[in-house]
Amino acid sequence: MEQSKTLLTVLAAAGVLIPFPLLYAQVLTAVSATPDLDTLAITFVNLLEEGKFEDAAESFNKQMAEALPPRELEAAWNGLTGRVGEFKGIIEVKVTEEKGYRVVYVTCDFAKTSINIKIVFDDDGKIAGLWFVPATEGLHAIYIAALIATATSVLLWGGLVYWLSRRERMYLALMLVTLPFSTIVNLCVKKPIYEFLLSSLNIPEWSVTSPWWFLMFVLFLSPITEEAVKLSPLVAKKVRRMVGRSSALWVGMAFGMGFGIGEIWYLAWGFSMVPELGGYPFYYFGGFVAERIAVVFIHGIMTAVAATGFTKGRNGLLVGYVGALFLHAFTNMGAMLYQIGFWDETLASFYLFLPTVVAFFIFEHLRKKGLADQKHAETVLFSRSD
Amino acid sequence: MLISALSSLGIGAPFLVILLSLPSMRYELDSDNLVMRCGLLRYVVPLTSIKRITKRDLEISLWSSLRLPGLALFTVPYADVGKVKMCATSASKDIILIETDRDMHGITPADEEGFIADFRSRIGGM
Repeated sequence: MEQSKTLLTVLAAAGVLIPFPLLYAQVLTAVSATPDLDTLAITFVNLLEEGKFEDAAESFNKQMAEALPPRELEAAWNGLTGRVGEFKGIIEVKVTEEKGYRVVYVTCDFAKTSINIKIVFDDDGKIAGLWFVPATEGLHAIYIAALIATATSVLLWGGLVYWLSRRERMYLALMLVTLPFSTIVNLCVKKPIYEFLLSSLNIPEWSVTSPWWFLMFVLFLSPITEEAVKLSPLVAKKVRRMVGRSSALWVGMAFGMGFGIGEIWYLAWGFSMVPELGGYPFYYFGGFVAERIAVVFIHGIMTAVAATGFTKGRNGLLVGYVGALFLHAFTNMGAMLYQIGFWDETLASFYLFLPTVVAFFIFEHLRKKGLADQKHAETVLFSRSD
Repeated sequence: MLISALSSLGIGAPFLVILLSLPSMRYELDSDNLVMRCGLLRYVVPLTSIKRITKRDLEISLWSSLRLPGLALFTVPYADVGKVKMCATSASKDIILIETDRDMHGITPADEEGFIADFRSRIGGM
């Protein structure tokens, strides 16, 4: 139950913008070999465990001390133990060299999982870099889950588009165009806007006590930015020519689904950096797989709504875009309400069924409209006017 | 154990009935009506109510009722033509669509030409 809560917390973050927590600071300088690094590393970890953050920070070099003062080091450590539980002890210490730097991995046992505390030393034996990373070896299981979600989405939704569009391979190819868009919009647009607003307005991380307008901003930030970037291929004349009354649904679906599949991998990358998610088998992320499969389809529908509007001119595009925004916000609302503690995890989990069913209705509606504009080959065998 | 057996029977029995009734699927033309049968399913269409008969492919809706590969029975919603009362061995390909004043029926006679010729001869005598 505790595991599912943890996973749901992470999944809740998937629907809306949550910048991944900064768990590390890195200020590297050239280093050379220094003896007893393992001892220094163990001492440093023990000081953290004892809560002696001032003493621990004395091991930092100048740049690191500026980047991570004792108060922030304490916050980082408390944040870690808040997520992965109480520190139980050191399991293993490994000294290695990476790209010319001497690195010590202190594998620690916490109540919920194991974490590698990665410490980089400079040539004076001072700490020049610090990470808290999952103690997993090989491929993180979230990537296997992402692969399953991707393969299922392509087979299920890609197959649906291919089959119902009368086997048009072009629409499958269009999905490739928007694959990187999720990563781009998250890192280059949403994250900077969100962080700028937090810092300039001096607002702490969002919660149920946040101002309502700020919650609305968070709710609509993803829809506004993501729906715009999903439609961005329309700037190309060649793409605009593809969007007709009977093809808008399929072009929109292709762009939206491509974005959704890219988002699977962006999120998987983000989750792979969350220490408490390390060390689990891939089937632990079943909720992630199911949620992402549904969201890929919903992403397709959102863009299809806007693309269908585009066939009616600029005003139509605006109406379609606004429709897509509200559908997107409606989809993200469950995760957001859970995130701020307003809903419990069960309600938030089941909520996604609602936008999924709505998306199916919209899909059928748009398809009917598209078919109405198509001529069907038929042979008249009898007519009363004969 | 008994409950699960009864549940399985409850779910499986209708499919079994349909499967067993498949060989009984037939279309009968008499002087007044076209009768479509498949097991317990029976549609009767007065010949005088038929306005149009076409052969075409239908666009399957995601909200279909009983539609299995090689079988379409009862009322099936289609994305392009709406609801069609089906009694056919195909759900979407090469459907003979019979339009009446009130509704549409979909059939797949094995001998299409013979069926239409017979239909025309009967309607011509009216």
